[in-house]
Amino acid sequence: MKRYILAHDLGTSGNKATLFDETGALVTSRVTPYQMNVFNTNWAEQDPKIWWEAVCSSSREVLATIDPKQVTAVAFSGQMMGCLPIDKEGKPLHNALLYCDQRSTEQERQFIDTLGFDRIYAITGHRPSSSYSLTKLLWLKKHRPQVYEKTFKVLQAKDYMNFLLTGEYATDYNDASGTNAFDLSTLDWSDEILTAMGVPRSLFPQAYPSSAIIGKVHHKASEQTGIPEGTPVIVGAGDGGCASLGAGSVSFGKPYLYMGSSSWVSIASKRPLSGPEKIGFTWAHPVAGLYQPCATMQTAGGSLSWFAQTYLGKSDGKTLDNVNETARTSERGAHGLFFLPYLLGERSPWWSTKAKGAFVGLDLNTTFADHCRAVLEGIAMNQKLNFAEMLNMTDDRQVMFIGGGALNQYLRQIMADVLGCEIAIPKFLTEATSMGAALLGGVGSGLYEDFSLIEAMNPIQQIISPNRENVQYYEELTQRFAQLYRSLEPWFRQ
Amino acid sequence: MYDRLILSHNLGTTGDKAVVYDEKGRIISSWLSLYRVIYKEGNEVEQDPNDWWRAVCESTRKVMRGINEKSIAVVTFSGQMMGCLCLDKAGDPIGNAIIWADMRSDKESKQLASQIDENLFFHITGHKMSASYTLSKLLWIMNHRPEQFAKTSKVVQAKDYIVYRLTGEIVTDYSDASGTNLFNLTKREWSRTLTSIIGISPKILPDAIPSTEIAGHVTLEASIATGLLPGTPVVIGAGDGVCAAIGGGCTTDEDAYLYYGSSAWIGMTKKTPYWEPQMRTFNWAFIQPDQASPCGTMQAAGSSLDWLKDELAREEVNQAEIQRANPQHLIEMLVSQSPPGANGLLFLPYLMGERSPYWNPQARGALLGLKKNSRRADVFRACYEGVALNLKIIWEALKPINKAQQLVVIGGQANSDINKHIIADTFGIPVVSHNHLKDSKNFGAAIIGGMGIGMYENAHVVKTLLHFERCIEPVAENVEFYNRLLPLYEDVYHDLVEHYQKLEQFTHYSEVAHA
Repeated sequence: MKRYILAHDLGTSGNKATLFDETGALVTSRVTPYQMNVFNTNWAEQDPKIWWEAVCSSSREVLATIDPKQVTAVAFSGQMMGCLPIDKEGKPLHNALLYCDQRSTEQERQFIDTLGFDRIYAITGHRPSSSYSLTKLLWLKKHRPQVYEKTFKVLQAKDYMNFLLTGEYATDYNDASGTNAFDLSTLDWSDEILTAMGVPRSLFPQAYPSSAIIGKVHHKASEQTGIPEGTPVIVGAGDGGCASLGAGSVSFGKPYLYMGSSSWVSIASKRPLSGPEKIGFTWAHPVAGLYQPCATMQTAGGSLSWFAQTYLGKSDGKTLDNVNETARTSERGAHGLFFLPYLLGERSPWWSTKAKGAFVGLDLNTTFADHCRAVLEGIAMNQKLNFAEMLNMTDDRQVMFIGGGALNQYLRQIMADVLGCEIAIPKFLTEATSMGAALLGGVGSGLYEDFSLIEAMNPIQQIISPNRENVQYYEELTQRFAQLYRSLEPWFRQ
Repeated sequence: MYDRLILSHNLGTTGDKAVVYDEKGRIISSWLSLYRVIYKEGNEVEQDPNDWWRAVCESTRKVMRGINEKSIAVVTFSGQMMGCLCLDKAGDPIGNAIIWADMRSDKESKQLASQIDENLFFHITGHKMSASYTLSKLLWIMNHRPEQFAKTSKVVQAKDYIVYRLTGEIVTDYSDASGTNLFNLTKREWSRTLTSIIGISPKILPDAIPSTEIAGHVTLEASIATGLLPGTPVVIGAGDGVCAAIGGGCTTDEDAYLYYGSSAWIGMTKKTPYWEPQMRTFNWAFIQPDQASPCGTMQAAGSSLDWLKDELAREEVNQAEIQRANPQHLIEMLVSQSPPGANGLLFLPYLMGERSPYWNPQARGALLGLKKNSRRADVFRACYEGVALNLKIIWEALKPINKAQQLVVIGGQANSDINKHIIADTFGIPVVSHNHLKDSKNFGAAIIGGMGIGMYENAHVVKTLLHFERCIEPVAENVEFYNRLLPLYEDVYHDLVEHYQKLEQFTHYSEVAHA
């Protein structure tokens, strides 16, 4: 009999339901879109009801293509770093505050003042920030006391869906490591942090390995979703963690690079990042026993599309191709032109909201082609800086490249040369999170033997080798790139 | 029939423009003959003096069509300055001329700096020591082309060579001499101190005479080549920096002008040179005895805007072709859609290194402050403002001697209203242009030529010959805004100096396989 895993990718713009068969092959998928509610400049919320409705409708649509009894397990990938308070009856008390909600800056300061920046980084693997769940909860405590008083649990998006499916409160290590309240070394909620900030530990659900079964779909949920009653539900992981699995980063080493509008680099490691510059941060890996160091830049593909829009009037695929084709007529180093890709400030490596973009090194011979080349190199060099500490942890020098940005053939070669690594391109570039959720569902339910199935699910299609003579050149150019940012840093601060 | 016409040449970087004026300064005819700029490896820039001569012959013939050669009362010149052309004993060029834009002799100028006090040098010549000038170019020839130097009998400027071809006389004028880094500005003679330090005979430098002096008369041979009447008086004329001053109506203590062409400079006319404490500006010898023209020149002004047009504004260039419009007009429509400050963008216009105010050949351009919502209009506006802000630094450097109530803007970019508005707002002074803004160097040379033959009594006559246009007034709130912006603009250059120093190893045009 055919067997399937139902994988959900619960994002900020919609929920995608995907069926994978027993061999790991992607069978069909449906997306139900929804909106993000952004207001007061930097507040961002979603009503969890729209998540559930999207999960129900997308489940029904994909299940209509098969016999629903053939579903072996359900598993989620979910948006991370949010804050959803629910009461004793499991009812939301407030809209969910999303990862990009920045209202809790005052609580961020308080958090840092109380425990110290370095201590928080050491415990949680993350910089203290209003991006994470804890300060959002502290904001509710101060500004919505009636909500906070009634709060029974604080959940992440996928955890609430799991609760609606099974009636169980649970989270996984990976999602929990995005709250700023989770101790990476003990894989448990940090008493030191919770006590210091005056938050009872009981508000947080028990954390499990990402492939753990937490319950079965109950009768009411079955009626709403069309998933047969009794189907096992695997806890799943955050979307960052699931993307790692989908990118093949399922055992020690295995660096990968995701590039969409933003971009991150990541690896599977045996210990969290500990570099004094705190360029990156560390999640608990969805594969038990591993960590997932990560560094995120704000505008990667975003820089390219901005450049195409501003300098060529359009940012469609054809225009982006044009940028790449034009860049080919320049050469490495773009004749001394540097591009700093900090159009929205920068997270890794500089962590500055004040940083801005720049072209530096223009002369009368500088061409439009040099600009194109400089933009691509600037993105790549920033990610080289972000990768440095991670690549020191392993000898693995093959980087899987996923996300829409990996479609860019020319950028693949530049990435290989700048990073000094082989670049591997898998078959599916934009299905990584769904595949990660499916892997967790399949491994957790026993349908898949182990995580290495990803090599068959998403096989490597192409390997690009670095051009040897360019590697040393980019080593030095990247140092100059970093020095250039540092020279301009005081100016950006003005 | 005309009589008492003036034939005025401007030997520029890209071509020779010949203009025939009547006594009232009206243009009777004009012609531009182009020639090559030879860009060689690195930052070497040369021209073939035979190209100059051919262009002068051609433009003379073309501009004289329909004009009786007998009515030409005088021929005179404005010329590109600061070059180095070696002539042998027979008066023939030894190789190409190294022109002002050539920066190959950076090492020589630094070596010279170790031999003489910078401040003393500034007070002798009126200029900072730099690879831009004749002196370090000549040192380069001495170091790298000793056989060429051994044959050298005279070192001349562009217009001097052409005057020699016309008259058989090898001379130069005070203004061009003052652009060699070898001339004693206050004594108006070649500096013995400098010639002895570098070890050259003062004899290889031509006699320097007043700009208004007749250098000689058109020879029979030159007459055949140009169509001019033999015996036509040739007034030596002046360097283009000084001709522009006169063409800009800048002849008294109360005047100031901005020449805004490919390069741009701010100049004044003063009784004494201005010894700017930081040596950001310099001084030409003016045509009137005992007058100097304090000046600060930036390298890439209009060139920056042309570069913008050629490399970043293809869409506008294409649109202009379809609409049969001027692409710069389309670009400037966008510029006017962005507010002062270009939504936080700054452009440093150092696309050719920089002379005033920084004298740093390694400097490069930059576009800074880009954000996700930065638009094309902001990028374009930033370039326009960047040139104006750099000129503002020069304007500030000259402030202690500045008595002008308005600024005369001439040169090709003076046609652009948006440029004049931006200049008025950054400088905080009314800006005005006149009816000779595109031929201002020729016009200035014509005044000098007319003076040389007694047609005009002095340079002030220019004020009665020019027709000034409506003033563009600064907008108070914009002036205040740009005043606040200027320190940020200056800071970011200083933040980048170290980067420019270290850039060299990455900027070669390599033959290594493309990535």
